[in-house]
Amino acid sequence: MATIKLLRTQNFTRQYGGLIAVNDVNFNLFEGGIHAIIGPNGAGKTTLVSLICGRTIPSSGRIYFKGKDITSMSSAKRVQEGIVYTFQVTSIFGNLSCYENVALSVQRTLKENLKGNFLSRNLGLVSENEIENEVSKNLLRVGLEGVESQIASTLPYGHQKLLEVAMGLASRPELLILDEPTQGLAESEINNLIQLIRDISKSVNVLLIEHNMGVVFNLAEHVTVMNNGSIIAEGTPSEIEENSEVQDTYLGC
Amino acid sequence: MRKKSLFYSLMLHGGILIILFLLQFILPAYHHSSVSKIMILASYAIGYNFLLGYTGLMSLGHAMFFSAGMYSMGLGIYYLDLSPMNGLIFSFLFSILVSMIFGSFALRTSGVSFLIVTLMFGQTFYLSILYFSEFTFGHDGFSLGKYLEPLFIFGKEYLFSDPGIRYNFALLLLLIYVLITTFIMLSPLGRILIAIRENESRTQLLGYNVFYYKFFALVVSGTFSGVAGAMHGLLFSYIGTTFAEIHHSISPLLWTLLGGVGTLMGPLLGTGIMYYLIDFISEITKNYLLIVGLVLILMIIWFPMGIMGTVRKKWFKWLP
Repeated sequence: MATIKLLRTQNFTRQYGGLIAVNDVNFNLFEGGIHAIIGPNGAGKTTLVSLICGRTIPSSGRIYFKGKDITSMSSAKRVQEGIVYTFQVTSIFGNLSCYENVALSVQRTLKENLKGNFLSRNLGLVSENEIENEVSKNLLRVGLEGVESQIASTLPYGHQKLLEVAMGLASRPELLILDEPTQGLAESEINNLIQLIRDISKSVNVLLIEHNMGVVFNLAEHVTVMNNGSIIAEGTPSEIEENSEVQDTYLGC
Repeated sequence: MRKKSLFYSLMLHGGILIILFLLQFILPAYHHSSVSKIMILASYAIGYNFLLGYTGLMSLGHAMFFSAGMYSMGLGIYYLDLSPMNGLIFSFLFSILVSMIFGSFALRTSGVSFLIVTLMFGQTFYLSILYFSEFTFGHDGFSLGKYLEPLFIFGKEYLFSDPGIRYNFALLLLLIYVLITTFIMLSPLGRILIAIRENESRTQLLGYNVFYYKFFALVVSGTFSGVAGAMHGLLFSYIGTTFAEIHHSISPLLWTLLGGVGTLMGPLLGTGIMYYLIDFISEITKNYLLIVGLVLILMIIWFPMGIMGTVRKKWFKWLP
C-alpha cells in the first residue's frame, strides 16, 4: 500500500453558529486508489469535502496538499493545484451544450500551459481544434459520445452525472472528489459508474463520499467513517465492517 | 456547429451593416440624422449588453462611463487644445481608467449590492460634474462646434457636423463594436464570461478566478460606453449633464431588454425601436413616458427574453 500522504488536515473545525459540523478532524489521504468517506446524514462528510476543496472556510485548523499548506488558497487556485470536486446535486451549466460544459473545463488546463499575461492567455491562443479533441476524449471516457450539441439540462439525470464526471476529468485532477455519485441513479447505471470510477482510479486519486454501502465496499481500499462531525473509525472495508462502534452508529440502523 | 454559427452570424451582421451603409443614400435628412444617433446610442447599448447580457452583471451607473468619455473628450479639446482624434484617444484612455477604478470597488459586491453601488457611483459622478461647474460648465453644458478642427479625408475638408461624416462615423463605431464583441464571444474567453453569467460559483470551481474575468468584462463595457459617449459629443458637438443623469443609465438597460439581452443585434434593434417610438408618441402627447412604460410592461409579460432572444429561442438557435 502506498504511504505518501497526498492530503492532510490538521485539527479541522467548522462551526455554523452553535452547530459544529466538522469537529477537530485530522484526516489523512494517501496516494493511490480510492478512499471513501461514509457516515449517516449530517455526519459532516459534505462539509469536510467542502473545506477540502475550498468552498467553505474552516473556523480553525490547517490543510496540506502534497506537503504544501493550502489553507488560505481560494477554491479556484486549489482546482489549479489538482483538487477537483464534482457536485452531489449535479451542477452543470444547464443552458449550455454538453460541448461547452466540458470545453470550459478543458480550456483551463490547456491554457495553463501557456505563458503570458491575462489577455494573451485568454484571447484565442488555445486553438478550438485542440479543445474539440480533448472534449470528445473526455466525453468518450465517461461513455457519453455524440452528445456534444445537446443542451446539458435535457440529458437524462444519470447522463448529467456522467457529464459532471467528464468535466471533473477534463480538469486533469490529481485528486478527484466524487460527492455521492450514485445518488438517484438506477441499478444498471450504478454498475456502469462503478466500472468507470475503478477505471479512473488507475490514474487519479479518488475521494468518494457515498451512502451506498455496496458501492463503497466494492470500490474503496480505505474507508473513513464519520459521525457527528468527527472521525470514528478508519481502515480497510473489512476492518470497518467488523468495527462494533461503526455497526452501532451506522450499519446497524 | 460553431463554424456554422460563425458563418451565419457573419452573414447576418454583415448584411445588417451593409443595409445601414446603403440606407444613408436614400434616407431623408430627418431620418438620416436619427439613424446616426441611433447607431451611436446602440453602440453604447452594445457596451452595456457586454456586461449584462454576456457576463450577467446588471449596472445602473453606465451614464458615468458615457459621460466620462464625453466630458474627457470635450474638456480635453476645450482646455488642452487637443485635436478631435487625440480627444477620442484621450477619452478612450480615460474611460479605461474610470472603468478600472470603478471595477476594483464595485466588483467586491454582487447581485443587488452591485446594482446599488453602480447607482451610487453614477450619481456621484453626475453630482461632481455639477459641483465643479466652473470647470465643467454644469447644467448648461457647452458646445464644441467652434473648437473642432475640420477633418481632412482624401484632401477634402469636412466638418464633424456634416451629415455624411456623422452617419459614417457612427456606423464605423457600431461596426467596430460588433466585430470586437463577436470576436470575444466566440473565443474561449467568451465561453468563460457566459459561464459566469450562467453559474458563477461553478465557474470558480472549474479553476477560474472569476474576479479577473468580471473585471475584464467591466473594463470592456465601460470603455465601449465611454468611447460611444465621446463620439456622441464629437458628432453632435454638445457636451451636457443630461448624459450623466440616471435616466441615461436606465436607457441602455431598457433598449437591451427590449431588443434581447445577450444577443448581438438586440441592443441595436431595441435602441432603434425605442427611439422611433418616443419620437412618434411625443408628437402626439407630452406624456410619452407613460406609453413607453406600458410597452415595456407588455414586453416583459410576453417576451421576457426581448425580441432577438425570442427569435433565437423559437427559430434561429445559432443567433449570437
